[in-house]
Amino acid sequence: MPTYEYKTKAKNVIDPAKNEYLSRPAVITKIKKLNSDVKHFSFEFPDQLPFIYKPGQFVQVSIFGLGEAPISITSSLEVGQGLELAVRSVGKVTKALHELKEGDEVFIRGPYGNFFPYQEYKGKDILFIAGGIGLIPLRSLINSILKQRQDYGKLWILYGSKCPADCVYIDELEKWSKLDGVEVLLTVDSATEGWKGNVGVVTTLFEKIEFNAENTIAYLCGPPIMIKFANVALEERGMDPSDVITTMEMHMKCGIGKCGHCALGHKYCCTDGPVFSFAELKTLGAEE
Amino acid sequence: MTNDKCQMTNEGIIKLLDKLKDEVNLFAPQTNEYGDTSLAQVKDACNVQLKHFKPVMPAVREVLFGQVKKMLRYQKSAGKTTVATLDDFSETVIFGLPTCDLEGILYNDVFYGQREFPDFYYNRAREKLTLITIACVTPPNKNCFCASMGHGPFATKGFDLQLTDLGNGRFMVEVGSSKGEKIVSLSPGLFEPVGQNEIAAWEKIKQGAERLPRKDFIKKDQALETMGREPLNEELLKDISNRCISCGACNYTCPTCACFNVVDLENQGGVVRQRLLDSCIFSGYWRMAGGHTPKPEKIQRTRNRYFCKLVWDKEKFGDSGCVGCGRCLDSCPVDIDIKEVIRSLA
Ligand SMILES: Cc1cc2nc3c(=O)[nH]c(=O)nc-3n(C[C@H](O)[C@H](O)[C@H](O)COP(=O)(O)OP(=O)(O)OC[C@H]3O[C@@H](n4cnc5c(N)ncnc54)[C@H](O)[C@@H]3O)c2cc1C
Ligand code: SF4
Ligand code: SF4
Repeated sequence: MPTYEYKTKAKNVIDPAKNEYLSRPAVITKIKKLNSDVKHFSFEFPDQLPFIYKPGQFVQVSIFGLGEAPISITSSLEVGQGLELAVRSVGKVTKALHELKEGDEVFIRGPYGNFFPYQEYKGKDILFIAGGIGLIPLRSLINSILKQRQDYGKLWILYGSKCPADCVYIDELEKWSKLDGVEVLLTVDSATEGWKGNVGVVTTLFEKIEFNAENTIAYLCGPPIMIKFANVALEERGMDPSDVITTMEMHMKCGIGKCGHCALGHKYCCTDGPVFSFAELKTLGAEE
Repeated sequence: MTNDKCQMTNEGIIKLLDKLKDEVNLFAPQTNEYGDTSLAQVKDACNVQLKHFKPVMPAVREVLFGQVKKMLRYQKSAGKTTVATLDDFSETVIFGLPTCDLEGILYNDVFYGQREFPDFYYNRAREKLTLITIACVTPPNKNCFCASMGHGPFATKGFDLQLTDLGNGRFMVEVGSSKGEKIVSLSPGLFEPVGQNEIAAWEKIKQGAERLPRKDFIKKDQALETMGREPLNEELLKDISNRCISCGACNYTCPTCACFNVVDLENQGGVVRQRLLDSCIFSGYWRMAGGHTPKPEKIQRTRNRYFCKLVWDKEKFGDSGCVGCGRCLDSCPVDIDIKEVIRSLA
């Protein structure tokens, strides 16, 4: 009779007496509209307990009676008593979130998942490539890296969206573009009047920048189709797949590696990810 | 006195069950008025069958995990929302558990009970659960292949008490844990000591059961090794996925399938968050906001199911998740047989 045992050395095992499905009340302190279907929310926890996280992690947001949704943390406080999320209205929970007002309460648990590796890349040039709301998780990383600006080489932020009105965090993109050694390039699939940036998919921006594939780390976030093309273009430019890092989005229910929905090959997007390098993703796709 | 042996008569067992039913939630195989046998709560111990029995739904589903488990209750009053854990577990004994079901529970003990996030509800229920198994000494059911998978017909660990029918109106009782010990010590009159003769008879029955024509009819170890290295037989997968009607029965009846969905339901002026079984064979299982579905083709989901059960479980938990109970084939309307997949690899 064989023995079942967990072969991976479990990293941070929670207190088994804790009910991880139970979430904490969080109060909305600020709401900002980012585009026609995305809103930015700031939250604070009335229980005053610290909330510690790293860029790339996500939380599970509960709305009374409707359910839970996994949402990436977009702020980069890392240690504090609150957090920021940006949410696109697509279904039950996300629509209900959009109807809330400042002062309203939701329930949050987490943070979950792994995070973007970046401390180990000090000295490297950094290429951020975002499409649509892919900028939401990347924003956390960009601001974390900017806090240690002197430790990194050149930074590029390439951002593509469907049309100018769809761009999120425009004011911040502008702020970043004014910083030394930071180049921000925007593109849209279809321009409207007054648009001064590039027109075309995000990969067309690659022609406008000179980067040394040997010394660059790329972070990619966006819709699956953009990820696919950007990754091919980066490989053509000589990037090593282990230096190209992305976050994956899968259907998720529990966020803690039990419900099975987010299986990516033999890994779970929620606990093994959501951040993966392309080198890792290749091994996960091998069975497909 | 772990793995100590004693014996009891059939009448003694009924007496024990009659006592247990008043003290705890007791589940045991019983036949209802429509002729269906299942693991059901015991009201009258005389209705319990003492023969080895494989329920349609594995016990991990029916008793331990529950097809629906209420998790949290949200209540709004005077503008404040409170959320509370629903912790209503009580002492439970399952009598007559087959070995394959025990294996399913041992798998879930790791999958749910351990790893980075030990599952609160699972562990609470499990702490309060006592397992009395009956070893399988009769010829196996048509689709059973536990012996090929190394998961039966006798359990060597994990049970609290394991019973073996000695065929003379008596059962051999093996004590496997302190929970089992407690049952024995609380009813001393019902358990009798065993001598050399009984042990010899028991050994003989055990060997006979293991020799029943079920062993080595698939070469599991060889198959699993091949499967880790080489892709699955595409022709077979195509054939399986063409026939599969995505009903999900194979997942719902498998003792090691653990996936769930979570829903919020209105209940008595509040909301109860509950989880229920889900099936990776449904395309909607994978569908994301915006309509994108990572596995739109049935063949992708079929491949996922067999890799999950046979390869990934072995990598992660040390052995294949398939314990060879045959329930997926028992319940499949188009006779899809996981043994075909395993055989194609060996
Ligand atoms: C790690 C991670 C990070 C994410 N970060 C963000 C973010 O920062 N901002 C943002 O706007 N969105 C983010 N999402 C997507 C967000 O979780 C979904 O949009 C949300 O769950 C939809 O919930 P809903 O109740 O509004 O939709 P529903 O009404 O539940 O469903 C609409 C559709 O979404 C599918 N779906 C249900 N639950 C999920 C789920 N948990 N994940 C994906 N699809 C689901 C359903 O099958 C259905 O097709 C993230 C998802 C993941 C996995
Ligand atoms: S895969 Fe089929 S035979 Fe194997 S344990 Fe699950 S239901 Fe039983
Ligand atoms: S029971 Fe058979 S038909 Fe139903 S989903 Fe499983 S393999 Fe497909």
